[in-house]
Amino acid sequence: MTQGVLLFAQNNNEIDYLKIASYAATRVKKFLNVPVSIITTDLCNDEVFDQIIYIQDIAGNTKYFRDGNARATKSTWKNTSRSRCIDLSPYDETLVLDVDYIVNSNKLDYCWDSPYDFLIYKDSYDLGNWRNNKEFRNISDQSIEFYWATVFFFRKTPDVRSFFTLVDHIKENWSFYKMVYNVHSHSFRNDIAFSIGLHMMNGFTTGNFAGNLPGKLHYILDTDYLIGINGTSMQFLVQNQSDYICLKTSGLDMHVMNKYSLLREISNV
Amino acid sequence: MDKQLEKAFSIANYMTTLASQRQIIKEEFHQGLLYYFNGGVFKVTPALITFVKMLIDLDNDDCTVLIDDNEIPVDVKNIKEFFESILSVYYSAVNEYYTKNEKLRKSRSVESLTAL
Repeated sequence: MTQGVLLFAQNNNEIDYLKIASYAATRVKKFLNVPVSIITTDLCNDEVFDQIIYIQDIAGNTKYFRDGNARATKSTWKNTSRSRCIDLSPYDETLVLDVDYIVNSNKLDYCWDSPYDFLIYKDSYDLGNWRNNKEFRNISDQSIEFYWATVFFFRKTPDVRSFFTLVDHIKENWSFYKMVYNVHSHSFRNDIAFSIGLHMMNGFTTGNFAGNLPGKLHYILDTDYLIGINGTSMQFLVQNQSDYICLKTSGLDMHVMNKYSLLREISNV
Repeated sequence: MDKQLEKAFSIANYMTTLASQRQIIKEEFHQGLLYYFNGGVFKVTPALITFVKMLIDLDNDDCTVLIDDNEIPVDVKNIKEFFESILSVYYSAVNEYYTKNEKLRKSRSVESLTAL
């Protein structure tokens, strides 16, 4: 069976997703030693990618892109192609990563031998662990469990295809599912669609359709800053009310939501 | 600002950073304890080590089935080899955790706590 990582990168007028993807791909190759392919709408000739798969540009949502507390700029967020990964992926076994998920270990090697055909993160750790992050435990108050679409693994099986069909259906009927599941986000979000899809695949309850990726998904918010990278170590400024706390991680895969700071640090590496 | 108050804020900042950094190295330690074997994932704990050692001491040379952290049965054909591997994982993670903790303990400033 062929194995590989799939990245989605569609630039907008604020963020160079292709540049971040290129850096993310080098990290994947270093720590997971698998080929990396990219799904994009922008011209790309970076040789780090095993395959460059072009898709049609589809209008996405808009959202605020924050660079810590320094600025917040509204721009297009092209996030609606994720559910097509099962058709777009050139691999039998695919690990899909957000481009701002920076691999610093071989922790994700687990997925290739897993008996589950679909793996995803439910447990997470906010570096600012003093923050109330209930939005990442349930998709809304009194609603279902939250799953992270940041990192997930799948094999091309009929059951997994059914799951992505459901995610497509949820996307097309977002207003309805938003209401039924009491979701507050106006824009379509893959995390929430995946969470609802998994709930449905489990017969509208909790269940074992999806296995757990090992450990936790570690993250900072877009109101925090990445201020340094050195090997597998990363240095952050994490917001604590009106102040910032400096913290460091070593060997942890990190979801760096502040893409502006990620771009700055990538340029320094 | 009053110098004493400034110092108090500085120490509070250091203490907050120290507490958060302790949590982070604990997270790194827990990640370091994960061991993948034959499609299963095991968190190497003293309980797992003791249990596997007990199985070996009971002269269990046949295939053994262990339940992984996702409650999936995993076939372990060579329990002694498995034991050596998890012991190695444990020692590596614990020693690294100790080293990091000692560094934190000796750090007296935010800069030394979080230097890359």
